[in-house]
Amino acid sequence: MHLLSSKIKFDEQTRGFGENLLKIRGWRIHSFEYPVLDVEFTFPQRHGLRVRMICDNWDDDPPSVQLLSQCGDRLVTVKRDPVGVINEGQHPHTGYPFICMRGSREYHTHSSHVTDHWSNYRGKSSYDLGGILSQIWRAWMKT
Amino acid sequence: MDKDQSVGEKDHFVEVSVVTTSGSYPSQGFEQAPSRQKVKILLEAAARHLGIVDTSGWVATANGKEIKIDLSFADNALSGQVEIDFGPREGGGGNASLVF
Repeated sequence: MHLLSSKIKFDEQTRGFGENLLKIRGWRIHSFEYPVLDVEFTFPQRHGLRVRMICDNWDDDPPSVQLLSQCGDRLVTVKRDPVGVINEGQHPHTGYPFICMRGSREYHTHSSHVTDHWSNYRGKSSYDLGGILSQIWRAWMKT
Repeated sequence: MDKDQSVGEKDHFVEVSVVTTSGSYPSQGFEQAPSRQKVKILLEAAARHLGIVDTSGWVATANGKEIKIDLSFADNALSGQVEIDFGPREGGGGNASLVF
């Protein structure tokens, strides 16, 4: 994917994140600047979770998703959700807990899922940047 | 029109805003919809307006609770001004093995 094309898609798919959405979902934006989408999930009486999506080569490649503390440190332990989207194991490539879900680079590059290609999902409404982030958020809400 | 009649007619409508990561519908304020109208009719209009091609498997929530989109606003006990959060459910967990 050409850098400019990738950036245009990134910008198109993040400009719909309006104030109402952020308020309803308790999202706090840390970065909207290509290629980084960094959003903190918040909820009353809970520790927040920051999800940093590295979107280089979007959308030829799915975003690499990093799980961070509220102050931006990479998490080495996470709480698993019931369906296993938030995976507390160490990813073989990164060594960190990861998002084990269609649409994350760590899923599609994991030895358990390399045959489930990103091309099966690329371009679908649930797998644009907002869709992927929404799926992760809903998983976090169930932890 | 007396006051009681005005209030009664107002009760037959809800004011709805649909919020997604692709934007909101309407873009500002609220859309008026009959209380007895199925929720999904407004969600379909929102999807068309926002250019969302496929909403299969999506979930709609209001006030933090999932609503049944095949039922009406009234059947979902929604009244007044309603903000609907509309988007995909949590992803299917890969459940990748923890042993590498």
